[in-house]
Amino acid sequence: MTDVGFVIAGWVITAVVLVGYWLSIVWRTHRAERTEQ
Amino acid sequence: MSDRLMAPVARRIVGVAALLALGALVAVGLFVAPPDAVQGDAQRLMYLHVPAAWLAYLAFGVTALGSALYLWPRTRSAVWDRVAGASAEIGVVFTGLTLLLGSLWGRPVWGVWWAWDARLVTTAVLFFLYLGYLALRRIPAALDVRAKRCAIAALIAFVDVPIVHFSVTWWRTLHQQATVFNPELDAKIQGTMALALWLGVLAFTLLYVYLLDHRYRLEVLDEDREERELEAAIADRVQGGTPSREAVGATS
Amino acid sequence: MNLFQEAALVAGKDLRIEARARVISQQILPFGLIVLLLFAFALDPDRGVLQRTAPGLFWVTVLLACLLGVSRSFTVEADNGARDGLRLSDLDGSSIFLGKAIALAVELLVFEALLTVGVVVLFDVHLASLLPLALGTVAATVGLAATGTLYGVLAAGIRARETLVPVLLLPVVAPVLLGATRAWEASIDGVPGDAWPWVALLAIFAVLFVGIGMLAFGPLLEES
Repeated sequence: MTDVGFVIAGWVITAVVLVGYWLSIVWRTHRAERTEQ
Repeated sequence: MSDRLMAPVARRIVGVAALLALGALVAVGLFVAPPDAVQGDAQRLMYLHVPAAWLAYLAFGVTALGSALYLWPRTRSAVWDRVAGASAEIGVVFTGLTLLLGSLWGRPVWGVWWAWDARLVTTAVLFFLYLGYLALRRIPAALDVRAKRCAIAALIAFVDVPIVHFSVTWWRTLHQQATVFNPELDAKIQGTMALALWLGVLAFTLLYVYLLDHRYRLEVLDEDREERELEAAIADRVQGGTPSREAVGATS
Repeated sequence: MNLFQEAALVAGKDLRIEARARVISQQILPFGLIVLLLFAFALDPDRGVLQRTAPGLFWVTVLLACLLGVSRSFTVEADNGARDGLRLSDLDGSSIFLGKAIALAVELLVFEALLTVGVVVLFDVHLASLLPLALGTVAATVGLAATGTLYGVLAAGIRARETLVPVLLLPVVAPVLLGATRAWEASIDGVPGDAWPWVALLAIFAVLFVGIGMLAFGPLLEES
């Protein structure tokens, strides 16, 4: 992999991790709100 | 507003600001800033790796502060416990990200995915210290019992944070010295590269605040759910029957 | 009764229980020797690898045995509501902590003495300078016992205790593993003088966690 490949991988993985974590909070919150009914 | 840390307006502003800063970071970090003289384009990973590491410090610092405020009788409040717990989870995510990005940066620059030097080892230990903390947060126990235990564990774990930071000065490491917060406080970065770095710190900090507020609410909802499950189990008992499977299972 | 008398009382209780149950001699020591055997299977015994890595293997085995010892120390309190008995007694939390930590340290030291024989015999280790080795071992053991007792009570009364304590305790005692291994390496074939900074680190760790344990044990026991 060229250097650029590592850079792209790093930035993409960061985006995936941050978005994924954000979504996990949203999903868990949604589930917690649902059981309130 | 007891399930939130910020007013809705503030939260919206922080969220939008975070997105804008992240966009600016991508633009400057990937396109505007020049490649490094020695490391080439690989150095661009620094604009994510360093902010991620700083955010881990911040998140665990908030956890330590919240834990201390919870343990101190005069400031004891469930709010601090929830803040500590929410911040720790975010900190673990950022620490894991730091390790991952460090590995991706190290491979082209050092030639290895991992090295057993003081900075990397102490950071890995930090990751596992707080992973254990997150496991402790899941135990089925009364909220105040759990909060006290978690607070003690968090304060002990926080001792590793300064060790991680100073590891590059105390030991000979493969990892480079601190670019900005080195002992001479002489920032070794200029121009658009410095801009990209500070944009990264800004963007991640705004993102942290935004995530913390949302994660805090999840803590509140989870606590409410645990209380309701406990009350349901007790009500079942009081009615004379054996507790239903769900009620019992929910507390184990 | 003062702090040390109360601690001696608790330590004596734990050690008497151990003497009667013989968990150390019949279960934990064989476990340690089996682990040494497993290391010999896993690593190449012919090329001096075992001899060179013996200090590390020794201390990893001690860490694993410490986990078992901590678990045992608090299982003893879980049976028959013994924890309630401790709480209702007039004993100070710090004394109970000291007593349990001392008992665990004694048990670990006995284990380590026997394990050392195992390492010397099985891995062909030559112990040169005994003073830094012994002092380092004692300091490391006190640190392990204190930290183990602290995290043992932190997890007391919780159903997932056996799996929770390792994940909490092991990262915290990583410095002990580091310091003890280096102290041993320096004492065995390096420059013995190199061992002393590590012994100092181990001593500081031990003092720190004895202090934290004495402060936190009482309040944690109250609610467990």
